[in-house]
Amino acid sequence: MIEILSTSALATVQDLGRLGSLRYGVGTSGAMDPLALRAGNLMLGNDENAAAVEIPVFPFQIRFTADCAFALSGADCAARLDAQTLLPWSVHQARAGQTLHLAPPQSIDAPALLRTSRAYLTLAGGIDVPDLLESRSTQLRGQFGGHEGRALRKGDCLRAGEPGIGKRAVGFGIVPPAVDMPLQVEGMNAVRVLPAAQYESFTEDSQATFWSEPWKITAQSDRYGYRLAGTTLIPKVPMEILSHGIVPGVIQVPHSGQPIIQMRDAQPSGGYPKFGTVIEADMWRLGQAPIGSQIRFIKVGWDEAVAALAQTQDWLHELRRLIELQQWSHGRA
Amino acid sequence: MDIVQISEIFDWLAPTSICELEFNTPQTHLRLRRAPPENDCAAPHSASSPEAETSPDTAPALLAAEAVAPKSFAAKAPCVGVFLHRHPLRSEDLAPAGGTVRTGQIIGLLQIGALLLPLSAPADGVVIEHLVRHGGISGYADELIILQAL
Repeated sequence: MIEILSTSALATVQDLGRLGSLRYGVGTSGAMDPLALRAGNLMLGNDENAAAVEIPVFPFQIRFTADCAFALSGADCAARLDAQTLLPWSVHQARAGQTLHLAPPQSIDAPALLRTSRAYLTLAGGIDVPDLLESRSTQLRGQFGGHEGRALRKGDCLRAGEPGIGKRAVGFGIVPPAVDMPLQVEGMNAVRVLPAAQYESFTEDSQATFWSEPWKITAQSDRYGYRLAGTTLIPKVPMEILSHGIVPGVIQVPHSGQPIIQMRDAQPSGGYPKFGTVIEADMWRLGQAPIGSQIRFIKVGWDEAVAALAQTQDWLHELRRLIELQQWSHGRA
Repeated sequence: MDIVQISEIFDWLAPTSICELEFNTPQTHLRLRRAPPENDCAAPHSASSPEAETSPDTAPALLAAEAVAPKSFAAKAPCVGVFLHRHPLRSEDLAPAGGTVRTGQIIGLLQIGALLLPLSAPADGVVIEHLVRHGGISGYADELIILQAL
């Protein structure tokens, strides 16, 4: 249904992730911005876990080889379907032969709200790739899942689950979650963090610095993890700890004192001290933070982390309800 | 809310083209739906086109005058909502005053909760003015943007 026209690498097929296989040493993979993936699927009436294309490098271009409804979410990439400009976070009907072009998103100099890095292209019925270990996500390290276990290349063709001219309403959009649920500190995007097992093993100065200073996302950042740059975090005494299980969101501090946040393609175990964990409800914010941008951390407790997740679920619930109402109205027209 | 009030809402809706209404309070959830009336209320673009506004019995002299000064026409709200001149992620208006727009081009948005519904140009034209401010409430079929025919 779509053919990749771009040579730019690193676009992958992702759903919400391969959960439940960590015990086999298989990482979770999945969309770096799971909220954008869910929203794209909701606009199309797909299962929220349906697979989409995650695009981190631009410009990116595809051709529709058959009629197919599609949704755009995540980074605002000034999308064009042939000559028609498309608004971000919206759903459309493509005809066979049309070309979709995504330009680079706003630069890191833009206001915090616009500092995003990943776009999601969702197709009606989801992207039809094999379900392996209960997920269609690309497992880059293991080279399986997604499309042939690798990033997409020029000439690759992907099928949609439900191509054709859909009966559902298209042409509408939604308010991005970053607008509805902004989280910033002093003009910088922020994420909430739970202190982790070795937090108390760092000096009080380092603990204070972590919450009060900005952290730059360095060029050594990708789907595996983000390496941050800032004031060095110093342990009270040198630590040597055994390897243990880690999940996306865990913030480790290696000997350099510069933290690493494990992301969706993180390996399932590691031995660096754990300073904190980015809460699950804020992983989408982190997934959109571009290289070179600065982020801030906000200290929270368990109850706040759970409440934040509930807020995200409420946002999705309301979105589902409004889209259902919109589809009902469309069906009557 | 009692049955008398619901009946009253029915009476309000009767002369309109509104075919669905949802009303929520902490105690009440009311959803009224009805079949679209004859005129098809749900036509997505209800705004009048320049041609539609030309009355057949217009005096010839007036028609001559209009030939010199192009007619203006309005883009009307296809639904109730919050009128947005621009997308929440963008700083520039979709249809700034003085700009030329083409039939079907998105010239504004109506926000209902998290939904953004397009306001499309009913015909080719030049944007004269916005009648409702960015973020203002719009009723059904309210005139939102005045355009001048090309």
